[in-house]
Order: sequence, then structure tokens, then C-alpha cells
Amino acid sequence: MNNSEQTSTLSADTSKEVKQTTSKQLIAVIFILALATKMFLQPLFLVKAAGRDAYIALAIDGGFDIIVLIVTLIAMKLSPDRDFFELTRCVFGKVGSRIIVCIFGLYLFFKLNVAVSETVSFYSKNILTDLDTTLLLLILLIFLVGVALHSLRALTRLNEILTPVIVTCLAVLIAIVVATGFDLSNIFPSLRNPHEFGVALSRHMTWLGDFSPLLLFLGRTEMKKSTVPLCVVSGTLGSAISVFFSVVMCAAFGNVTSLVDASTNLSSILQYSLGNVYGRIDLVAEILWSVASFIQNALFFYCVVRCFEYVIGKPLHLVTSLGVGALLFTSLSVAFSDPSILSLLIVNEITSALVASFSLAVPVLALISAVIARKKEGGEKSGQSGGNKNAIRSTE
Amino acid sequence: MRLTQRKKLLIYKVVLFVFAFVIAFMPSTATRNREVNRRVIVDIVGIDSSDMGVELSAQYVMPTETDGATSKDKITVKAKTVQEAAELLNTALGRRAELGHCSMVILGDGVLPKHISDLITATDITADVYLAAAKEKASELVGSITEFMKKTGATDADFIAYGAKKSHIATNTLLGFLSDIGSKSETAFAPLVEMIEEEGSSSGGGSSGGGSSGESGGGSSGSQSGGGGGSSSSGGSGGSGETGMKVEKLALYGKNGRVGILDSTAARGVAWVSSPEGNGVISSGEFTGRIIKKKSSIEVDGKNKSATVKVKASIDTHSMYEEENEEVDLEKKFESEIKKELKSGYDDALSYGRDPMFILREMYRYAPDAAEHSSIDDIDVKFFVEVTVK
Amino acid sequence: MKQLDIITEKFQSESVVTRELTVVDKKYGLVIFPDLSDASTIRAIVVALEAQRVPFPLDKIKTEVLFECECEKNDSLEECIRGLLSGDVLLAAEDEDGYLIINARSYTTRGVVEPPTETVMRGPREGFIEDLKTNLSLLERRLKTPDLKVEKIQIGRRTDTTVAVCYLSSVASPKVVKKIKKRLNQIDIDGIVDSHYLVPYLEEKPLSMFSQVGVSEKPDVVAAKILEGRVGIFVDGSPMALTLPFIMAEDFQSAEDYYLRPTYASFVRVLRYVGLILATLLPALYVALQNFHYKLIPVRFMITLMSAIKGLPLSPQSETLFVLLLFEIIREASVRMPRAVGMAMSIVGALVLGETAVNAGIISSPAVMVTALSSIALFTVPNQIGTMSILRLGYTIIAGLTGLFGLTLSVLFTLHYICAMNAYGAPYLAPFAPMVYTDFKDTIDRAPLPDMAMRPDSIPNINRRRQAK
Repeated sequence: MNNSEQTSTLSADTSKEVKQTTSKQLIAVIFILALATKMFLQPLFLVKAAGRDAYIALAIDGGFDIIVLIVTLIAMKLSPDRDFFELTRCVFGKVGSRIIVCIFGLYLFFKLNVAVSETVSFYSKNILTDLDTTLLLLILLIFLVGVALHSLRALTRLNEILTPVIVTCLAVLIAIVVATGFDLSNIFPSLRNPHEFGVALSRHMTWLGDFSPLLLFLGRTEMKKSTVPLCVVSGTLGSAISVFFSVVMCAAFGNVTSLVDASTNLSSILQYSLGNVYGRIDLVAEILWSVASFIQNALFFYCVVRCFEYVIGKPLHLVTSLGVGALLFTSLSVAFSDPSILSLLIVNEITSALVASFSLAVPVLALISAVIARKKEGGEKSGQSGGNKNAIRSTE
Repeated sequence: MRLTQRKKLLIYKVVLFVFAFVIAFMPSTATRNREVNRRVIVDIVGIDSSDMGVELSAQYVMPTETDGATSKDKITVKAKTVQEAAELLNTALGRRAELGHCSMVILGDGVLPKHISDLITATDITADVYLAAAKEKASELVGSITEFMKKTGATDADFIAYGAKKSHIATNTLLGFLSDIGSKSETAFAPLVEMIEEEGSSSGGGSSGGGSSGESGGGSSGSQSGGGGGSSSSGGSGGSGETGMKVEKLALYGKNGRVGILDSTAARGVAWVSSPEGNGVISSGEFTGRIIKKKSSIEVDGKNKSATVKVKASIDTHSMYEEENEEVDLEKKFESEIKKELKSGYDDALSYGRDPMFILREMYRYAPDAAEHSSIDDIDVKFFVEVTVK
Repeated sequence: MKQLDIITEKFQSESVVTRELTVVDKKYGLVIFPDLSDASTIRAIVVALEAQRVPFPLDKIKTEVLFECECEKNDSLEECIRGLLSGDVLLAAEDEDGYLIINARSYTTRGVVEPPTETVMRGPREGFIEDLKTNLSLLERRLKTPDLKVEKIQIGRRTDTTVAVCYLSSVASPKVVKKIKKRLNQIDIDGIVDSHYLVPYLEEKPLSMFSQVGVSEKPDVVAAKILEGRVGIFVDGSPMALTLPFIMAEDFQSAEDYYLRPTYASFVRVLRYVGLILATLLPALYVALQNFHYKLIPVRFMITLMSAIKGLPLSPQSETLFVLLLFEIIREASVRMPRAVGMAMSIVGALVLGETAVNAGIISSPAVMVTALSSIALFTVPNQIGTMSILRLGYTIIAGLTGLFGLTLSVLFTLHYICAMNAYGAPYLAPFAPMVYTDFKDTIDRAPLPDMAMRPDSIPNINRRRQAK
């Protein structure tokens, strides 16, 4: 009897019990992170600022994010058993690592604010126009807190189930666009006003860094040989889909950017191409697809909670989750009370520069830490699968 | 620890039960304002400009006492702006108007593109709504269509778009209209809907499909709003001798509103290029063919400021040919007919200074420098037609 | 005899009977529990003893006299009393310590019939009964392999219930077996009267509303599960066998799936999944669409709906909750009510509560239709009725308050909660999460049996291959 057939691959291998994510789950997570909130507010802001060239800005952002993704994946490959907290502790010491993780946590918290505000805005303007945004926010926060109480494994499993549904819905939407002969040539001519485009690009980089939560997958993911290339393909595909839909949006609204507001969404664009023929199948597909945003929000929330737990030094999931939830609620209640605050905070050169720097700096830091850690071990491959003393990880 | 967990869970269960009970019967849940019954479905909206500002007409649908039957009626409100008029509509109807199910918007004579963009931003009307144009007053056309729908038992206005497509007339949606106006060509169009009146037909209310009477409901008498100074009126209007409708012509629009109406030949010519649909029939002499497929493209040459409009069509004639060259003759005949329509569309629109074939837009896309400071008059346009008879 | 007095002193009841007999010059004593013992076996024991030419000691009686009986000499008083209470007969000999425990058990049991909870059109119709011996024999008839291990444990201070743990030693994961046995041995309880008493001790999250233990009344089902690497647990006095580890996908599998053509079986399985989703979400969607999402309702249906709900005293959410609760009451009552009045009360339920309430304008017919469809669809997966009934109530409330937004989040939350469940090395939502592609042959669709050469990867096992290549 073939030995490989002897044991059940799911549970017999003890080293895998330490890993919370399989490579398939990682690929699915990357796909979701690549496109989730990029199809909400960012294209709207860009279309208003850059007109029909907004898709080019999105493509550039997507390209930047892919570079960040590659750096992160290399770091993951170099550190198959040590997580981000352990790496920073190994290189910078206990205090240094806490400072770094605290700053990283704050950066993630800002990103979380952006992501959650987008999601709530989208739903309040498109799906639930009668409901108070505070109530929507509260419900979303209950979900996020609930998710953060469990392990990363549960979240990645949930994502694994939903990804085929999301991909199917996107495929349906793409098929509708392609089959109905949508006039995509309305995106031409391109870059008639390079200066305006440059300004728009530089002010809208707050949406970079969607792959930042992947740093918490360091050391917790089963990395095979094909994992890195497949992850890059997945990220590129996700970015390509979001760019495709932004092309659709630019083509639809390129001549009437004044009509673009938070109630603009993929659904209304598709109806422009379809006419009222298929009822609202596009809206159904839209709702199903938009669960990707909930997963992304949950990932960000989870990461923030774990970072703050590490800084505090105790794995108090419930207390920390509730604390972060309360903070988020407060910050967004203030932001939603005057939408211009949110716009001002998100759309400006300083914030964009900071976010862009952070989104690249942190994975580079992780990569450098991984290299240093490996050198410290004397070049041997990190096979210390059982040596994880990280209290936070062990409780998961 | 186990005991504490159990206590916690017991508390959660009790709280959940109380919460569920309270929530199920609390005032906000018991509030009936959000129910579907508190809405009125608006099927067709008409916009006119008026002395006050805008005049908004709406055909609304209500279920009657008889199961499965509906009643339709029309209501008109006047206000300074479209936003005010939309709010006044709710007041006039006594319920919230559900514009999300609107299937058609009819543009009156003096409507400006600004009114249409206000309609999208101020209401729930979706971008996919079909546009139609009335020769004069949209409110009259809405009334006529209402009466006609009562006679035919139609529940929504999709039949108008159907008719337009089958007649080989270009249709347009709200967003498409505004996008066309915002393009370099600064031209948009909407099919003109006219009612066919039978001479000497008597008036009389028809009945809708379920056998109910054409009763009105929900309309209010003219009421004045506070600041806007709007007014409203209700009741069906328009001639009740309509026996059908025709969609043969095309209303042309520029940034400042309607500029003219293209006759049926010119409208067909525009449809060859600007309509994605390939339906309808084409006649040449004694031969008539059904359009199976069509493909159009515009090739631009920025250097020479010229454009070639190419149309390829497949036509089915069901004809029996005695000789082979009869088919070739037929193809030439159809080609010449299509060319005639194209030229008619182009020339007639040019006389209004409009470009419904979007040649200038195409020039701007692929040769923007050439198109930047040009108008449609500056472009030398040629037409090329290729027909395959099946 | 002294040995007999020792036993009878322990008992309050007078059910225990003692008899002395002398064979040649040796005295023997019998302790009998007539309520649980077989009289003919006792008669045979007496005849066999009296037929001795030379009276033997207890050890030799076991091997020379009562060689066809199941006997065991035991010096432990506790063990002997335990045997007596199970229906065994105790034989004591003069001047000898200990007793010979002779199996003379005889209970009144019902016949092996088709279980009412798992009826099939095709396939075996045998079902477990309350007698452990019969149940084990039904299993052992199907698993004729020396690998089948049956380990018995006594649980319950006052009931001393025999619990049998059955598994294939060459297939089941030793870790899983060890963990199950450890948990069972840790149970210190007054009594076990049914297999469900063991469930909270065996589950990882006993307070969760999702069942984490498989239950079946059919020997073919339990045998098939044991063949896949699971452990079967039988409890004396209960016809319900437990199987572990358990994954949620098992509830969507029926024994009949394997006795039908694969195409039809796959179709029926898809129906079950669709049915459960429909059952859980339909009332919530109905409420959410009415309250918030008019755009999703086609115009003609919207008009029909408006016509149907005109003049109702309750809001859509209250109405739907009311009808749901009504259905739950009817369902519960129909299970409990005596058969004699069952028919009449069904008519009352259907006509009075359904049709008359609609005609009176208290509830609307779309609400009744939606709830009826949801309730019927719930029965496509009978084991999930309890859980999904509660969930659908919760979803309906949430959907009525927050529309599709809240409904989506609550469904995601439920899924996430299920994804976090892991028991005995088997993820609860396998093979969907984590995705185990090889197991999809027997999850949504049912592949032909020759194609299922390997055991499911979702269940820990030490021998994956079950068919030759």
C-alpha cells in the first residue's frame, strides 16, 4: 500500500496543526483583498477627480500593491514558522517590537476606518437608504467583534467558502458587460490632462496597502512551492477585475462625472448597458459579491485586535475586540456626522504619502527581519515548528 | 470556569429572548411606514418645463379591490425644480412614490438636460430607464399612454421600448442620454412617441386586464406647498380615442434642449449607426427584408479630418430568386436604401447643427487633437454600406 | 449459605431469589434475579449441576459442566452484583470464595423494525432496538472482520449502563478513539438512560446549538460510517447509535443515496442543500424585501403583494414571526397529540388557522405560503430541524430590522461560527471549509461507488484506501 495513502492528509501531520491557513486559503484571501473595497468608493473619488482616466490611476495603484504583495510573500517564504511578532521581537527586542507593532496596528486601524466607512456608505446609499448609518455601523461592528474572538483559521475558512460565490457573481457581471456590447471606448482619449491626472493620483493613494493584513499570516500559513506564484496570479487577477470594472465606470461616467456620487455603483452602470431587461439580477449579484468587503473588514479588524493584544501583552480577545470596536464606532460616528471630514482625511496628499510609505515599509521591514532572523539561526531553514512560545498564537 | 461560562450563556439567552421579544413589537418595528403598501408604484414619469419651472407627471399603478387587478392614473405636479416636484409628488399622492420601478421617462418639448440630471440625482429613478420624447407636452402623452395601457391591459411601459426596437429606431436610456450630451458631439436623442388616433372614435374609459374599472386613486386636489409654490392635479387626461402608438421619429437634443425632430427616414438612418439593436424591416421598392444582424463602425482620419461610416447588414428577404443576379441586385437595392437613410439622417441632423451618429465623438476619441477645435461641419463624412441578403 | 446471605443483604428489594441445592455431598447456592433472567436457562443450569456424579469446584464447573454457557468466576462482590443486576445468575459453592457468574439474561424487547426517523424506499429496513446485544449483533453481521473492536464501558452509578465503543482498529485514528474513551471514562453520573445523555460529554462545544455528534438508528448507516473511520457508540437501552467524528455534511447524506442511481442521488442531494437554504432564508428574505428592498421585487409581484397585504393589522415582520411561531406550535403539537385526535386537529390547524385566518384578514396568503414552503423545505434535512428553526426566527427578526445588510452579516456570522468548530480532528464544515476536493465526490453529488476508492479525507483515519485500483 502506498504510504501516501496511509494517513489522512488533513489531520495526521502534526506540523500542520500549528498552521492556521492552507495555501489555497491564502490564495483566496489575496484575491478578496485585491478587489474588495477597491470597487466601492475609490473609483468614485477617482472618476470625479481624474475623469475617464481614473482606471489608469487604479491600475497604477494595483501595480504598486502587487509589488507590496510580492515583498510580503517573499517574507512569508523566508519565515515559514515564525510570525510577524516573533520576527520583530527577534530582531528589535521586546520593547522595539512592541513599538513597531503598535505603529503597525495604528496604521491598520486607519485602514480599517477607511474600509468600514466605505462599506457602510455603500450600503446606506444603495441598499438601505432608509436606515441610519449608526445602526448599520453597529451591526457591522458586532460581526467584526465576533470574528475577532475566533482564530484566523475560522476566518480563512469562511473566506474559502465564499470565494467561489464571489467569483461566480463577478463572472456573471463581467459576462453581462461583455455580452451586451458595452461601449468601453468611451474611456478614450486617455491622459488629455496629465497634470490633473497626476494630482488626482497623488491625492488618492489612501487605498493602497490592502494587502497589509497578510503580515499576520506570516508563520501561520502552509507554504508550498507553487504558493507564491499562485498568490501573485491571484492578486493580479483581483486587481485586474477591479481595474476592469473601473474601466466600465469610467466609460459610463466619463462624460458626466458630476453624476457620480456614493449611490453610483456597478449595478447602475450595468443597467446603462443592459437596459431594464433582466430585472435586477445585477443587483442580486452585486449584493452577493459585496460580501467580499465584509471579509476584508473582518481581516483588518482581526489584525488590529491581535496587534493591540501583542502590545498589551495579554491574549484578551473579548476585551480587546470590544475596545477596538468601541474606538472604531467613536471615530466613525464623528466622521459620519460630517461626510466632509471623512473626505478631507482620506483624500489628500499627506495621508496618501503616509499610507503609501507604510504599505511598502512594513512588508519590507518584515522581509529584512526574516532575513536577519534566518542569518541569526546560522542559515538553517527554520524548522522550529514546535518552538512557538507566542502566547497569543497558542491560544488560537 | 465551566460554571461561569454556563452562567454567561444563560444570561445571553435571557437577554436575547427579551431583546427579540421587544424588538419584534417595538414601535420602530411596528411602524408601518416602510411597508410596501405605503408606496405607490410609478411606472412612467414625464417632464415638461413650465412657467413655474418644471412640471412632473407620473403614471401610477395601484391594486384594486379585485384580486390581481390594478388601476392606473396620472398625476401632474408643478414646482421650481425637479427635486421639489419629486417631493410634491409624494404629498400629492398621499404616499411615497416608488420611482425605482419606473420604466420610462418622457421628455416634453422644453426640457433641458439639467432637468434630466436632476431627476437622476434627486430620485430613485435608475439609470436604465428608457427615454421617450413627446411632440409637445409630456403630461399629455403620459395621459394618452395611461388610457392606452388601460385598454391593452399592459402593466408596464416596456412595450414602448419594444415598439421602438422593432421599428428600427434608436432607443436611449437616462444615463446614455446625459453621457451623449456630455460627449464631444454634444448631441443626444430620444425616440418620439405619437399616439394614433382613430377618426371619429368615442371616448370612454377602458378597463385594465383584471376587469376593474379605470378608477383613479390617491390623487389630491391642487395643493400649494410651502416654499416651492408647487401645485398638483390628478385624473386621466388626453384623448381617449387612441388606438395605438407609433415610434417613427427621433427628437434631437443639444446642451440647450431640443433642437429638432428627425423624420422617419432620417431616424432610421441614425439607428443604423447609433442603435446597438439590429431589428426591424427595410424596404426597397417592392422588396422588404428583415434585418437579422447589423454592425456599424466609424473610421476616422484626424489628419484629413474625414470619417467613414461603415454599415454591414444581413437581411432576410424570404424571396425566391429565379436568376442569380437577382440576389446581387437586391443587395445593391438595399445598400442604396440604407445609404439614403444614412445620408438623410446625417444631413437632417447637420441642419440642426447636431451629430447623432457621434462622428465627432469618435474623432475625439482617436484623434483628439484634430477634434479639439472642430465641429461636425468641418468633417468630411463618407458612407459605406455592405449588405448580405440571406 | 453464607455467600447467599452476603448478596441478599445488599438488596432492598425482594426481587432477588436464592436457592440452595445439594449435589452428592456438596452444597451449591444460586442467586437469581427472575425479572431479568431466562427461566429455561436457569432450569438447564440446575439440571446440569444435579447431573454431576462428582461435585466439582466452581472452576471445573465452568469448564466441565456448564461449558456451553458464558461463565466467569469472579471474586469481586461488586462485579458479581453488577452481573446479577444485568440478569446473570450467581453460583456459589460451599467452602469456596467467589461466585460463578453465568449469563442467563433475557429481556423483553421489541422486534427489529424499520426506524420511524429514517425511512427509505430502497435498502435495508432494519433498525436498532433497545437491546445492546441485538444491536451489536446487527452491526457485527455487517462488519465480519477481526478488525472490529467492541469495547464495553459501564457508565452510571445507579444504572450501570453498558456503553459499547465500536471501531475498526485498522482504519480509525487511534487518537480519536483514545480521546473518545477518555471522555467516556471521565463521566461520573447518576445514570444514563439514553445515548443522548453522552452527547454533551462527547462534544467539543456542548452549549452550541449545532449538533456535533452523528446519530443513526440504522445498522447499515453506522456500519458505513465505521468503515470510513468513525467510531460508533452504542448504549444499552437506546436504539440511537452515536458516531464520531461528525461533520455537518453528514446530515445531507441519506442511506438511500447509496441505493439509488448516482444521478438521481446527486439531484436529491442538491435539493437538500437548496431546501435547507430556502427553509432558513426564505422568511427573512420575504420580510427584508417588503420592508427595505422594493427595487428587487418585480412590478407585477409587487402589485400582487400590495393587494394581498392591504389592511392587515400586523407589520410584515410581526406577521411572518406570528405565522412561523404558529407553524412551530402546530408541529410540536402534532408530535405530542394522541393519534386518535391527530386527524381532527390537523384539519383544525390547516383550515382554521390557515385559510380562515387569511380570509379574516389577520395574516396574508403570501406569508402563509412562504412559511409553509420554508417549513416543508426544513424537513429535507430532518437532523437540522431544531437548529434551523431557531436560526430562521433569528434571521427573520434581523432582516426585518436591518434588511439584507443585517441578514448577510448574520449569515456570515453563523458560517464563521461553524467554520471555527473542529472536533476530533475533523473540521465541522469540511469538505467546504477547508476545501477538500477529493471529498466532494460524496458531498454535493454522489459519485458512482467504483470512483470512491479512497476514504474521506475530512475524517481522520489511518488507512485511506478502501477499494483496489
